[in-house]
Amino acid sequence: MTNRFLCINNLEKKFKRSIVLSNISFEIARGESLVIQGESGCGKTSLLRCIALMDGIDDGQIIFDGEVVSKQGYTKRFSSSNELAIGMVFQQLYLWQHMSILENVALPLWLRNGKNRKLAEEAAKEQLSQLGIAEKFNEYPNQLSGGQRQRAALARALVHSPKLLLLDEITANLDSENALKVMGIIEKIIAKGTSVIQVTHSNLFSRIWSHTLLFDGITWKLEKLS
Amino acid sequence: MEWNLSIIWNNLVPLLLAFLRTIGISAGSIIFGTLIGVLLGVLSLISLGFLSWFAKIFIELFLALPTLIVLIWLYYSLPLMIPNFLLDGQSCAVLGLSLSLSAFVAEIIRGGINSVPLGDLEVAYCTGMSRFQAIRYILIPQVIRKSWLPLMGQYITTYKFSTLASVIAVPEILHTANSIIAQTYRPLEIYSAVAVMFVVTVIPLNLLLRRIQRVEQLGGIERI
Repeated sequence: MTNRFLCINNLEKKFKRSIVLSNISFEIARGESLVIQGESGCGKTSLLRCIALMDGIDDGQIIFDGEVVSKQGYTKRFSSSNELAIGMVFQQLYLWQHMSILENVALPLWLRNGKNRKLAEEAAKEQLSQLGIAEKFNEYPNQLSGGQRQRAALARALVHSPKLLLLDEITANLDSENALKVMGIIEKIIAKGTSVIQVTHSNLFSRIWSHTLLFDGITWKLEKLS
Repeated sequence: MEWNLSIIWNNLVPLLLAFLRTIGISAGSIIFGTLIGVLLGVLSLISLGFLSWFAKIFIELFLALPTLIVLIWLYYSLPLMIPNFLLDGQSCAVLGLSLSLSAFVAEIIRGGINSVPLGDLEVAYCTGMSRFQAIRYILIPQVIRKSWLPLMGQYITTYKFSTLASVIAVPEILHTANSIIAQTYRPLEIYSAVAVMFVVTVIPLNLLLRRIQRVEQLGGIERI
């Protein structure tokens, strides 16, 4: 594979003494997308959290955009550059309940880039309108439907224009109609050239992924899909 | 026994002055108790060795101790242990009420912090916020939202408990009322006047809190 963008070498992760992930190696090129699948408890989310630099690793290497980042804490990592390179959407979304949707999306941009608050809000509105929830920007997370909340969380991750977007089972709690809408958005994001890694149980929408990382009970295998 | 309201009228000025003192003691106790309580609540949650253990033991101790015992012990017993530790009654009252309140404030703050999902902070870090920014913009506003109502309840309790200061010779409302009764032999009017002073200050406050809570539950107040 050329143009290595994300390269995982012999990654090992332990929680206390139990090994959760071992000997995982794969790489994807810029703009490629990967779906991670496997049975419950096999370590999919742990792997995603390691890639997001939220959890440290015990052995191996994570090379992101040519830089070895596996030893860096994620706050440190993000503070060292002006742009957020990795965006993540959690399964539980964790929208900040005390803020409107607009504030949820604009606040990180405003704080991060030192932008004028109005400029940050304009950018947030633009992102929300691209995801089809512009009219909801003054509402609070608990006033939105599951699908709208999902899109708001996506907007918050996308507003920084990340090079890599990590998604943790974001359609798990949605009905098929809303899941379809959200996956349509993900497809457009991939088409624009953003690398996306998603953890999922579902085999639906498999056509949008270029690779799958599958845990077969013993080892992790990377397969090219398209 | 017939009511003689002129007794209240004739003693209104000393009663009101004493009531102001009661309010002052309560306000001081609420301010110090809140400051100490927030500090204890945070210390009990983070790993700071001795300080965290001290905070936990302090909270348990003052949750268990009746406020009256705290006041009496500070005023009568502590000077026997530490001869140079001489506080006047009013300072003792503020200190004792503050310490009692602080344990409850610490528990409320600890509960408020624990109720904020860890994921909220993780997302904040993921979106590039520093630790300080995450605490300032994500943690503190949510802790305030979840804690203000139980805190107000504790403040009202402290306000009512401030009458306990009468047992350590603080000339607050109840102590002053007792002095007036000793001269007039009219407990019915004087104690009733004291009761009315508390009722007319606490009931509107409770009604206001319930109103704010109802509006908040309906989604009217979404931000602090």
